[in-house]
Amino acid sequence: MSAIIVSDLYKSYGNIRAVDGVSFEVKKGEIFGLLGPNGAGKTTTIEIMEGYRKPDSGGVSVLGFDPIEDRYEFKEQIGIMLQSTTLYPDLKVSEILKLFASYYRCSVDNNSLIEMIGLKDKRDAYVKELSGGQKRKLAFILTLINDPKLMFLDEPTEGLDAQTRRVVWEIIRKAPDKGKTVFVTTHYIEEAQNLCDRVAIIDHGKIIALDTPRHLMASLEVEQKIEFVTDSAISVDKLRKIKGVSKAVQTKEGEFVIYTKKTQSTLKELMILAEKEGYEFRGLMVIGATLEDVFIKLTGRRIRE
Amino acid sequence: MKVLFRQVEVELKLFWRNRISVFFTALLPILMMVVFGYLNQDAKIDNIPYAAFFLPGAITMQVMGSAFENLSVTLTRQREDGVLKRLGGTPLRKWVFLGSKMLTASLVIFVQTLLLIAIGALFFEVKIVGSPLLFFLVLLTGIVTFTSMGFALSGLINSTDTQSAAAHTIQWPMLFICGSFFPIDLLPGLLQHVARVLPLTYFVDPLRAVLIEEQGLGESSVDLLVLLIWMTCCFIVSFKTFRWND
Repeated sequence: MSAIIVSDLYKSYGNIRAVDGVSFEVKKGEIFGLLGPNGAGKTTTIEIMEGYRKPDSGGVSVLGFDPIEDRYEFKEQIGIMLQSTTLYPDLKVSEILKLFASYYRCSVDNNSLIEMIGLKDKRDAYVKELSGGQKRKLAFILTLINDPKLMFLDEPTEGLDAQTRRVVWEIIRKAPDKGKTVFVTTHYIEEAQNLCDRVAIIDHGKIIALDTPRHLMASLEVEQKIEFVTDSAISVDKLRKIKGVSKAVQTKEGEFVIYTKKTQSTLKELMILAEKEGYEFRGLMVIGATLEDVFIKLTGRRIRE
Repeated sequence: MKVLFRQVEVELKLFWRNRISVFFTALLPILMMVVFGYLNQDAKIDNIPYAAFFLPGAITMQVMGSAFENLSVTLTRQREDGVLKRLGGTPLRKWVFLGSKMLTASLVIFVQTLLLIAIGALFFEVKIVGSPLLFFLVLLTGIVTFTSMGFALSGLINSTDTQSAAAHTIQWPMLFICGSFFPIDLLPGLLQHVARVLPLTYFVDPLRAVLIEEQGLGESSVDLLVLLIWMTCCFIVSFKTFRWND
């Protein structure tokens, strides 16, 4: 069953086509990621789904609702984290949570939310006294306050420290266990790759790829990297002749990187070569392809350029 | 209903936490009352001592400052900052949100008005002769009219700076020509015509009639009708133009 159906969405601002014919479906209980560089149309797309913006054409159905027509019943059942959330600066954290809880028919215990995200010692602090990261934490737990069926998270971990980012990921990962659906936008490769069941890559308002992270990386035959450190004298030319190697470079004295599409056979041959020539490796690492490589392959650019 | 009270509670809290800026808004009409009262101790307008004439005018100043200007600027600022956008992501109804602001402003203005009346009575021997209930009804109609007018203005404007300038430009000339400070008859003919179109005229006159001149609603019924028409129009426009985000 589909939690979200987006069909043929267009939205322009003046001459700029922010969303240029986007269609996709998100299944119930899925963690779905929209990955793309800044300005690719992520926020416009998510804000149309949230009912903040009207598309020029095309349709959106979320949990069977029209986000604008059915706005109040729709908002009962979703949680929203905006790209930048502003809350009443002169209210305390606990007051904000109580206030937002009062807007919904049912709400979860806000003490457990505060504890979960690590804001317990800030519950009596005013919003204006919070750091940027603490404000993001508060914005995040507000999306959970009505125990929503679907969460819209626009760049949820932007500006969070590594530890909190892991906590947020952990909470998001558990969401499908309770039947929740998560729609998340991000420009963090790791986030899309580690978190999402499926990822749509968006660039210039168009979806250029959509699949599971694994399939995306496999289908494009993106290269993996083999890195190693050695004291032995190695000729780069010999490395280049190994089967499957498309590129081999010496990055520093004694440090080499090989790019390959056939990791297994390349590794095997590298080992055979090492036996024969008597190379001693001090460290060896295989670095898998990332969605970043997929993005580069598709657009010729890095995602954060 | 519970949500409305919760929202009023929050608005009152925010109001109290900003009490210094609020203090100055409230102070201006009081200062004017004291200064004008002393300066014109022997002056009379239509056989009414000036202090008594000006008291209802000071109350309308209070309403313009607290209900029209403050509220509309705050609303625009909250939209510009994005506070409204996040609230718009919840099932909070816009009538609850706007209604809570209106209720809060009314409560604050009632207190300020009592203070002004007390000052007038104690220091300038202003005799309050009218019916409290009628006075209350006229005051409430004025508050609803001018909060709605502020909300409507906020709906037409995007930035807080513009909003603040526009509110001043509307508020001060209106206070000067609509009879808050002196009778409209003293104005040049053209300005009198302008004054007879503006809503404030139809708020000051009945307020004064009820509070000082001991008139019933009968004498001011036309004025009140015009005020009600203004109120309805502003109310509708404010709801139509309200938006949670730009």
